[in-house]
Amino acid sequence: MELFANLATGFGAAVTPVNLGFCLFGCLIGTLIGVLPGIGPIATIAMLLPVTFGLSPLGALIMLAGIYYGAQYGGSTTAILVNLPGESSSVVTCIDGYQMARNGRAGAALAIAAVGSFFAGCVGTILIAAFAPVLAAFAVKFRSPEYFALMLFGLIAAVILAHGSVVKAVGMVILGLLVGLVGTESQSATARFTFGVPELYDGVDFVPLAMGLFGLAEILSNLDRRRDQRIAATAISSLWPSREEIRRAAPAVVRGTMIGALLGILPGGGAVLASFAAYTLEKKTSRFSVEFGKGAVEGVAAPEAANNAGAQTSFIPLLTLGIPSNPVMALMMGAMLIQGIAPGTAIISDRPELFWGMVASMWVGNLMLIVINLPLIGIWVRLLRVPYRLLFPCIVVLCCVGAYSVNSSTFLILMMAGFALLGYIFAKLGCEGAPFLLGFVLGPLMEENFRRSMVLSFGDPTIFLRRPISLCILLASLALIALIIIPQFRTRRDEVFQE
Amino acid sequence: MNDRLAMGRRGRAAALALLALVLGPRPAAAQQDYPNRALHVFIGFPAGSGADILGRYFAAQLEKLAGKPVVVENKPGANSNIAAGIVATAKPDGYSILFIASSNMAGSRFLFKNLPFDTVKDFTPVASYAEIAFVLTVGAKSPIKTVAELTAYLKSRKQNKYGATNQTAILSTEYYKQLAGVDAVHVAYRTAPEALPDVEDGTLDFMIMDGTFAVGPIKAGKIRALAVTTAQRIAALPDVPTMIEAGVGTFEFSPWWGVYVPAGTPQPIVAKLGAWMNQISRTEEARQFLERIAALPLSDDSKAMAARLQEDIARWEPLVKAAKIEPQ
Repeated sequence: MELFANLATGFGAAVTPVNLGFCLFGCLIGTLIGVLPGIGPIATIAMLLPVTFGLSPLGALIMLAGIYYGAQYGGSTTAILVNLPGESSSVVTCIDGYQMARNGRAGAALAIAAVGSFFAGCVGTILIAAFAPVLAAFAVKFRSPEYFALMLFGLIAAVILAHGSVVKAVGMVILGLLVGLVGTESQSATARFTFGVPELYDGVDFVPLAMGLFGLAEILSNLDRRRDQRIAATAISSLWPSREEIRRAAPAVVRGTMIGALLGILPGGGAVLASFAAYTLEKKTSRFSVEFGKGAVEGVAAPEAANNAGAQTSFIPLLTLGIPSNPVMALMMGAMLIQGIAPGTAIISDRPELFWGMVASMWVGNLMLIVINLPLIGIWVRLLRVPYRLLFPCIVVLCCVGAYSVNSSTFLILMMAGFALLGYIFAKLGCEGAPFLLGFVLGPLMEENFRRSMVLSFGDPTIFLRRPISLCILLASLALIALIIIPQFRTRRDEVFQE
Repeated sequence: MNDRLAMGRRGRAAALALLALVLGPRPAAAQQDYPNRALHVFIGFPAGSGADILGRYFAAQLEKLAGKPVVVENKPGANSNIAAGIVATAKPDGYSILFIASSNMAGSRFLFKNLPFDTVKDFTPVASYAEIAFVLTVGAKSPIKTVAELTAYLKSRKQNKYGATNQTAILSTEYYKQLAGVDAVHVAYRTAPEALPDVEDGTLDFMIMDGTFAVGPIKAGKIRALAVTTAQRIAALPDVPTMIEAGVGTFEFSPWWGVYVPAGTPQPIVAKLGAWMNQISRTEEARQFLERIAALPLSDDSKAMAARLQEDIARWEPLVKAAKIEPQ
């Protein structure tokens, strides 16, 4: 019953007035940006990173985590009421959620989405509590060769799970790797791609890169599309679903939770993929498959449960192995490093109050979110009426302040502007930013572990094959590459993303 | 009455200052009422880092003595070269102050090809304030108990490897290698916690690491300390000998922190600032604060510090060559 003792430690750390405050603040912000189309958790967390410098580590992480899963709740509100994905992971919720709203079942759809998310959040939290320590014990065996193999695996997975063309995804990963190489190389202290600019000796800073590539580039794209329309929201009558709706939604929530939890753990997974996969499964297996696209309850319940479960379990690889499974987790890793915490195997044993506090806060946060989202739904709906032309200047200013405050240097603001332009070009070309970011974050670590392994073995490359764990991961990576090459799988992958 | 007197004095000072401005480049009055506004301390490390915490402690004490706000400005990056570059080109009036480690002031000249400043000619040393102990460690399960045993062990084998996280650690290991006549290849780690499991289980034969981090795992029985790099033993590890006590020739190689102002700063201002810094270092409170991060207080004045820097520069040059580090 160590689990309960640990959870008690966690609740002790998380349920303090200050930390509850951070949790509530994070959940509120998360819901807000989830509701508002055009700002996602990646941009928000990137913008708030500098604010966390002065906070306690636990408070900072609780707040940032709250934003992430809060956005999963908020995103569904916009999707159901106005047919706009407030959040990329609620894209699929639009399909049947908006149809339900048009059929006069908006309240029921919102309630099912919120309760389904809550259930999935609870299961996700329990999974983290139960399995993270087991994984962490295993992860102690992870040294440089294993980390190299694992990161290679993560990058290949990022290619498979990216939307659209494989060639573009590979290109973006490689571009990310190259940007990640800027700066002083660890083993020989050689400066690379610095062009004599001292600000580049320590590499490209993560905060301006993420804010430019995701926050500002998103704004550029939105302005480009001139989507500054007033949004007409559907009226909500009752929040209570009918008995029939509950009967159909419940098993879909359970299935969605399972898929979401599983895909969340995989590197490259997370909320977006989870919701797509859950929707596809429901549509393929449901008795009511003809109703999909016309307001099927399962089409709301399953993806909403899945994206929240995925959001929750995607913390597992970060907290146990120190490997971010998606861009939001990469940002969380950045936040931890800023706080002087090396994410990885030692977190659970060395900082139990931090780890368990975070786990406990996730459950508390899910509880808060159901309150924020159901009784207070009217407030969020009203927010949808703020015109974008008022919203985006505020975001731009916040980004500039954030970039400057990293090193109190104007150079980083320029760098952010450069990445905003790059992100805009990426969007124009239909290239995704996510594989780029994963390449940027994982690349330097992968190189470092590769070089370190090679020095440790006095230059013998078979070190990667002689260690069983490393060998297994490398074989798994080979299998993944085979999957990309095999044509059948490629068409399946395209199908999933076309839904 | 007093107010009027003060006003009068200030008025006269202002007139004198004006006169001085007309007559020559050294405004004498500005030296007497130094500081009359906020002091800016530049630190080449991010807020919240070990170096920053150390620097901010001294900055806070300095604020009390100077009677004016002391603003800490973190300008991290490029081996503190960004922070040093700012102070090198600042007005030499004593209001722009650099807190920097000896590894940067003594080492950067050999590690970088195109430094936009000269660490000796463009700065005036003011005072040193702390010396950080580095610790020579091996895994706790290793049979090696002393530096002499380590030296013998390394000599008996064809290939050895050591871990290091920064230039100071690499250079002090090179120094040990030279004095003891042993060989080992360098394995780079970004942070000490990353290297810890590899020291613990003997993947690395030895590692010289920052005492601020090492004391914890040493006391937890994960790694064993063989010697400290300071001239004296440190309070946190009273049973661990110094390298000299352990028989490694003249080994003394610890990074130390000092205060610099731009060259050309008037001598009275340098003396005033230096006296305050020395006064802080000599307090019992500062000693206790430094003890917690495995450091010792230093209180060199400008002259002694300049000599200490020259000594370090002479020590770094051959070591950088021996370590085969290419200047960037």
